[in-house]
Amino acid sequence: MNRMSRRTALGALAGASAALSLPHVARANTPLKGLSHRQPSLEFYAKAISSAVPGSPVDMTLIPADKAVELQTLTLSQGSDAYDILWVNDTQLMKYAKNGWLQPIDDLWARYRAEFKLDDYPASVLDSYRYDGKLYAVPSSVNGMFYFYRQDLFDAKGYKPPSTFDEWLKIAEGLHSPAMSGAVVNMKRIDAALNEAHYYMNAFGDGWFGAKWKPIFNNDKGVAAIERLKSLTKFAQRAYASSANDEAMIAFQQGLGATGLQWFSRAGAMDDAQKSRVAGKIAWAVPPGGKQRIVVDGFAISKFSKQDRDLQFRILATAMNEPNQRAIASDSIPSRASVLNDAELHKKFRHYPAALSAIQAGKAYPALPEFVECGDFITLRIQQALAGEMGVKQALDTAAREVSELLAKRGY
Amino acid sequence: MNTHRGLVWFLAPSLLVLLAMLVYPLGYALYLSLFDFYLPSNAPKFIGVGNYLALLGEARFWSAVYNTFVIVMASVALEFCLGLALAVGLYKLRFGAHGLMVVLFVPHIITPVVAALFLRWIFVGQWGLIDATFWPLGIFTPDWLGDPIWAKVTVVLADAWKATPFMMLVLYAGLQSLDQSLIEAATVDGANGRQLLFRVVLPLMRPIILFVVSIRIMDAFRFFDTIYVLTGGGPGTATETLTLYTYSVGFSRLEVGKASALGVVTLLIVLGLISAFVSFIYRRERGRF
Repeated sequence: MNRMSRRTALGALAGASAALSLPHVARANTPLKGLSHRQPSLEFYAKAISSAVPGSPVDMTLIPADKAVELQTLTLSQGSDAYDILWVNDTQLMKYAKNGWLQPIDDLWARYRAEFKLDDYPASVLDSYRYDGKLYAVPSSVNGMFYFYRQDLFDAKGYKPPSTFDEWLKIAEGLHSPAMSGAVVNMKRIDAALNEAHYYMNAFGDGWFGAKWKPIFNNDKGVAAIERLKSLTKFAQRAYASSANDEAMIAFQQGLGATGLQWFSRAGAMDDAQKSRVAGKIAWAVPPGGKQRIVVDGFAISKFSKQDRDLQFRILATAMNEPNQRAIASDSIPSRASVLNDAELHKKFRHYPAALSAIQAGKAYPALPEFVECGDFITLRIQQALAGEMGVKQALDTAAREVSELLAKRGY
Repeated sequence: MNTHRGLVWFLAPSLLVLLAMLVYPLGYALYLSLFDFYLPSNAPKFIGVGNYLALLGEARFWSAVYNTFVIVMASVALEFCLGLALAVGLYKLRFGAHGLMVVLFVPHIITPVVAALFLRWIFVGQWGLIDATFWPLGIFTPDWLGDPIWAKVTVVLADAWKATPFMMLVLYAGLQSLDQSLIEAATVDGANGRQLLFRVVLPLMRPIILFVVSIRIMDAFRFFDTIYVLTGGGPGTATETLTLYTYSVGFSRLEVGKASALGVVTLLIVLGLISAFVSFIYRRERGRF
């Protein structure tokens, strides 16, 4: 019994020693980890990041946008190093940078400026990724929403891309049938609904906030803007309240939607004959009044990453180099000037002229790190107004009160 | 006596696991519920029962409570009726019952989110399986996910599809453990099928019914993934249940204290409901349970 105990104790000791040594071995071989939103161009960049630097693979996880933001927020708020590289857009970047969750990269940018031709990025694009004067991310692409429409149906009925909302409404009504939605509307909370509402609130209202972040979206023009959205939903697809970008893309590809707001990054898929029944039939324009959402996508380095930050920057700069931006130009508007201004690409991809006009006409989210949290209230109340649970004015007043309370709690 | 005292130590591992996995998280949730805790700030502020009072004053909370009750009650009732019918059917089958049971059990073993996505492709408008099948025939189905009432019905049907096999399995096991002599005696006394079921079989199965319905009520209160994927709680607040509201407060707004309070309130509601159900099932012999 004594011999057994000794043997057991020795075995346990050896096991414990081996276990203690494991983290060091594991640390040396731990691959970098990244977390990104899933859409065609980001899928491409995730692959590019994974193999950017030989011998330094990056394990990229791709999930829908709102899930990615939640997971990033949870891990970063706990100071976790679960992810080293993070997909960010300008709105998230503000929130993460404000909370000190990202590494500023100005020094790396300066060090590798020549090697990766970083002066190729326009200052306006980089400004989207600055917070308190510091740069936090490497931009991959400019994304934005524009007006998708069925060119063949428009031609058949003699319609032109609408220049006013009333024209859009008439077109949607004219093309609507049980088998064809006059308008594809996406009101799934929070992400899709906030994108959709952003256009109405800015194109037809006075925007979201006045001075000192006082909500103004419930003023008369804001109410009229959401009434416009409500009037369009009469010709929207079924279950638009639970529809987001994936559903909208399928609806267009299957020939079940005639018009609607959707992202540049979804335009290339319309002409993919393998997936789309309407290849060559979809066209694009700036929506009436413009001011639809535009956003810069890119990648940042977590403050809590224990991996080599030079290596991580080199991976990002390599993945977003000129050849890669050119290779995915069908599904994203490049962030590098040399690719963005390439006349060949403008000829090759039908949606480029409209997308570039939409960038000029578009509008980013308010520069408020808590805007998406405010969106939880805003999108719920707008959904309630659309579902008839309350009037539009009551819904927006309720949301404005809730947003004011939230921002007061956050120190505004 | 000493032997019995010694056996108590055998409970220790289970007790430790229970303490670690159940009591500690519950206690921590209770503790957090007393704080105004915004996750990114990492600076909880003690507010006592402030979160609970705030919840009780919110229309959205009461709407979530109402939706939860409607969906849970409708789902569990439907699952019980279907599960019992299937269990009785299987019980009466002379051969093939086990094979059929395995087939019927498949929906329950599919990963919840996968099942929810599968259901979404079935119910989604225009290009979903149902609409794509019936619309070409000129049959226009209801707006399953877009109409407030149909959205509730769809969520209930989805839960029933997934949970009825569990109900069926447990009730089937219960039927097989019944004392056959009592059934034979009732048959000899001239009881018809209906009388046999309601006067003999179901009363004999009360413990198993209590078990399976209680489990399902507790489970249905945690019903989240399917609703999240199918409707996201909409349209409006039509299918926003307590779990979806908790998710919104905890994960969208990162208000951990308030989300914990919602979790505690949900636990209290479930406890109350189960107690009421036990009391109802054993209303005639309260002293015996």
